[in-house]
Amino acid sequence: MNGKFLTVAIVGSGPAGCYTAQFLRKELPNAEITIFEKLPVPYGLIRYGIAPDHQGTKNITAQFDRMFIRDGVNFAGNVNIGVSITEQELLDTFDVVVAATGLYKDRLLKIPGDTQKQVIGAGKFLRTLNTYPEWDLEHAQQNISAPHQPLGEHIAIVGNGNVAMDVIRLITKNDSELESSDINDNALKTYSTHQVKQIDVIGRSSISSAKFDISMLREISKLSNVQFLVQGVDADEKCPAYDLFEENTKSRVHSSLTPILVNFIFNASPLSISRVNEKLNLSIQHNQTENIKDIQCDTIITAIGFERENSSEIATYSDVYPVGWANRGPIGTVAENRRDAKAVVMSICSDLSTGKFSTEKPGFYKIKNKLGSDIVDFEQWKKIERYELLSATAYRCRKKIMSISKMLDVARNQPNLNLFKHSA
Amino acid sequence: MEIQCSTATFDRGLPMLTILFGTESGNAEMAAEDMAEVINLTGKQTRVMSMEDYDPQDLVREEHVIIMTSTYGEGDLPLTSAPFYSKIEELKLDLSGLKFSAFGLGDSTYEHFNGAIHTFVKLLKNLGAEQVGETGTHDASRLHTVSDIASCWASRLFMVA
Repeated sequence: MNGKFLTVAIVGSGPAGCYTAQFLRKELPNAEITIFEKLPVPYGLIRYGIAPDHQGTKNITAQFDRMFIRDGVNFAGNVNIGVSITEQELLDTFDVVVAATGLYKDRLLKIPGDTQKQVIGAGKFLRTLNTYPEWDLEHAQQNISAPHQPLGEHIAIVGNGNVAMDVIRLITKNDSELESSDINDNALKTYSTHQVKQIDVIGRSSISSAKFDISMLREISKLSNVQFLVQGVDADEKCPAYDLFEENTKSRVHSSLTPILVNFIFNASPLSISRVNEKLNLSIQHNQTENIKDIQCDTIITAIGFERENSSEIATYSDVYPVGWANRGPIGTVAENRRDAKAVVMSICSDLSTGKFSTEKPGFYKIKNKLGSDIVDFEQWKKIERYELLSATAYRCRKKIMSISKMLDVARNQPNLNLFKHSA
Repeated sequence: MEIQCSTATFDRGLPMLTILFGTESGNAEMAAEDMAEVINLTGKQTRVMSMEDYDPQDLVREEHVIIMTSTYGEGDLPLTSAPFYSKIEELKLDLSGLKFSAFGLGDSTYEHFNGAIHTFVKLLKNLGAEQVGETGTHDASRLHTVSDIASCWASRLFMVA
């Protein structure tokens, strides 16, 4: 537009994209920064990945709200890069393009039989409880998945990292323990989580090198309905997790209900899945003794990480700066990816100072002229948010809108909030 | 009203105050900036710095610092606070001339919430520093935003009307 300030496009409004914008704003106060988001609503993993009962963790959005409202970062929702505008168009329009596209496809088990519909990815399970408009998006791609069904009484979870802990906690919490969350109650009902009686949690590692955080395990151990069991542990393998299991199994006083058994099996690898009548049979093998054990269950949930989808992605373009999971792979917490965002911003600044790119490309106004009112801006998102907060049912902090067309309707047709009236 | 924060230089010779934050998610940094704005209203000059960018030896020359940190895991210090803490401990600084105030960010979802700020308070007191005011805490699982709680705590501490 004027060749004087840097124009930056960030693709993806999850934590990696927002932290990148935040650090960029501090380093380059005059840069024009625009965050593009495929959905009409921002915050990606914060809204759809972090568990709906961890509202405290989700509260980091307060920082980003401020960035959009006060610090002049543009939000351009409902813009799907590769569909609404091409990757090349984006590169031609902005001096710098950052890909904060994340990774959300659940990694498959890749053992014989992992094609059954009773095998659910943990990421997808959490998105459903977080009211992600999955069906809308899949329908658009002519790839409609089977509707959700009851989980049954006996579940096997493969993987024991923090995502598995989220799944266990959300299944085992009773009504009062879910208060003040924004969990999707319809999804809880269709999954019939209250019918679950036993959860086997299968992990490859030994107890002392298991991936869960102790604080996450402790949170589950405090729930009124949970009784821990442990298998695959040597008595001399003392570690904080071991102590916690011991404490739970010895001293728990449970509510009058029959507790849900959460059975942690360490040192075990899944071998195959087969169908036996109405049940699934998951064969697992002890890593050292090679003993094989069969678990008959109703549903298998895989929590073994995330992977890239095959489709073309802006993150793979050579002139693009990937950040967060799009950069490092599906590892690390939000805080670790905040550090990655800082590092990527530093490399953008150093490339700017060495003249690797110049400040010449037009920036956001060109995309705005092209897409016009298709774009959902930050004020419109705030209307969606207010609608969701006001629709909250009893004991819930909000009721998220599931359908994209409903989000767009609220964004376009509800009265304005005048959020920006005090800004300069 | 002139609002001045995040500046490393002080003029006008007014009492100065350094807010040092250690953060996991950026919330403590945001709260530190909010606090600085509130305190600036009293005419004090403040600067906001990350513990990562601050030389602990400078503590002996400070008049009054505010320590802000979140907590990680089982009451542990976050990665951005831990090196600063260890350095102070290692140097065994004489902090008998230092006044400090403390504010912690935590989440009562977890058992050892706000453990990190109490760890800091203990260390600074052991080294002779004098605590001003009560340790402020925020609980992310409660309704009030960290900005509100931090600003409120700071205005009580410095008697902003």
